[in-house]
Amino acid sequence: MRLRFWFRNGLQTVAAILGASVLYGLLMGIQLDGSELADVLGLMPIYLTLFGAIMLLAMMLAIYKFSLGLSISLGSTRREAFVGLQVFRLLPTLVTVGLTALLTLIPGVESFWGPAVVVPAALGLFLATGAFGSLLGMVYLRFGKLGTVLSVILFILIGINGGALTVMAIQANRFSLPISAAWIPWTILAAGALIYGLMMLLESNVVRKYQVRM
Amino acid sequence: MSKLVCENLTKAYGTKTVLENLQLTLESGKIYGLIGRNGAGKTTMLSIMSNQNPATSGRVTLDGENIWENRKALDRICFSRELNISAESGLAGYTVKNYLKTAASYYVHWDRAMADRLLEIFELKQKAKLGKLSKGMLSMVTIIVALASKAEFTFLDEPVAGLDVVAREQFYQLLLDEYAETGRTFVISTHIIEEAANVMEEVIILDKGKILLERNTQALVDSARYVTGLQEQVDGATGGLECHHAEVMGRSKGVTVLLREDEDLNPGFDVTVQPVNLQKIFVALCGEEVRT
Repeated sequence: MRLRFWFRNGLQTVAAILGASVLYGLLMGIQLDGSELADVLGLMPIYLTLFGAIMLLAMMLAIYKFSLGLSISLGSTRREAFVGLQVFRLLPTLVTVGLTALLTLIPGVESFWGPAVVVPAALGLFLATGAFGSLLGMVYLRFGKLGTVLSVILFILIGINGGALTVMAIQANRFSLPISAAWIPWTILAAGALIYGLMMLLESNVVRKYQVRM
Repeated sequence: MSKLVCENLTKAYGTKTVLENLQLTLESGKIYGLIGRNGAGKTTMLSIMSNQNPATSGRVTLDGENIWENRKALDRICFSRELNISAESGLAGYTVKNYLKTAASYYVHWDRAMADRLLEIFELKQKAKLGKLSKGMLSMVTIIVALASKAEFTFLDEPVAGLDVVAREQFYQLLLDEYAETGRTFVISTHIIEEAANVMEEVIILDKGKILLERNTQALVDSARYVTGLQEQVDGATGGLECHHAEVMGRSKGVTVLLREDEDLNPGFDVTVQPVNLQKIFVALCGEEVRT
């Protein structure tokens, strides 16, 4: 299977995530008075997770816009391209989540959360955002730029309304979360894995019928 | 001898049929010219023959095996298509080096030394971004991919678009050198017919999604005549023969005739007969009738 192209892109994404996170961490560290390296390192898991998730979402759209077509135009089969998409998504996911977990284990560094929380939560978030990025990419293929913009607006509206309704319901004591706080990261992981799985089904169908128009 | 065969190939986008029931056999070790008007279906046909697009019906086989999603078959095929770089296209940010590196990761027989040599010949800078290259330079990049891929069946879609005459001559010479050395099969789609006629061993004329003819180039040119004279004389001389693209100017008439084997013009008529080059044959077959 010809996957070198996807590995290379995945590694470039890892480099971009790390670069953005380190840069932001250092800038924040410089701004905060009296901050030390340990403080910056303590926040790095959050930066890595947030930047990683955002970049993965954005990169997936770019991948659909031209990398998918490029690989097939250069002789890739659609099956290879489908596997390559998973490699591209999972490589930065696993590397970033792994680094995040390692950071929480550094002695003398006080992280917000330990690896038991960070790893499943970050993994779930990456899987979900990677899947959303793919969904946006597939919308772009079908409906063009306008479709993508409308989808982004729709997601934001759903997110805002969903979050507001949840907060209101909790405050009104209409329902309480059926799970304890310790299970939240695992719930995020389960949700992320479910979204990823559903997206894979859709993606396999889209890639199978892909036509190169470069 | 290997054969790439299109069997009953049809391609439709919605209600619009772009290719209709194509039957075509490409034999190994030949240079084919694929000519047709804009929108005839040349790029669509080449993209189906290289797995880049699925056919609506029919199939393409290589030595009897369906090429669709067939890794083994695709290792023997390269379609270097015209690069269309827009500002929005992610390819605009690719450097020449990165693009060739990506191509190298897909073509198992990639010849890096040849790619480097061609970069020197064409004076292309490896660090140049595709988005900053002129149309001619982009054509050079596609030519490098096609030649360095070393694929047994290599398709080039308008490889000389935007190239100046010197660069075009370079390309034809490189193509012939590569052909002489390796015996690869090339299919070149082009609008600059007369130049390419010198390198095309076989010509395929595509018109409105159908193959009008597929013939040895020299044999086709040898069989064509341009007959002019008074209308009734021309009609007499060409009666019963395959005539195309009649041009009527007052009482005079000119018509292109394609003679079959052992055929000739009808004797005893006062007409002028001239040879016809490939370009004029193409216009005669695919152009509109002219009446003034």
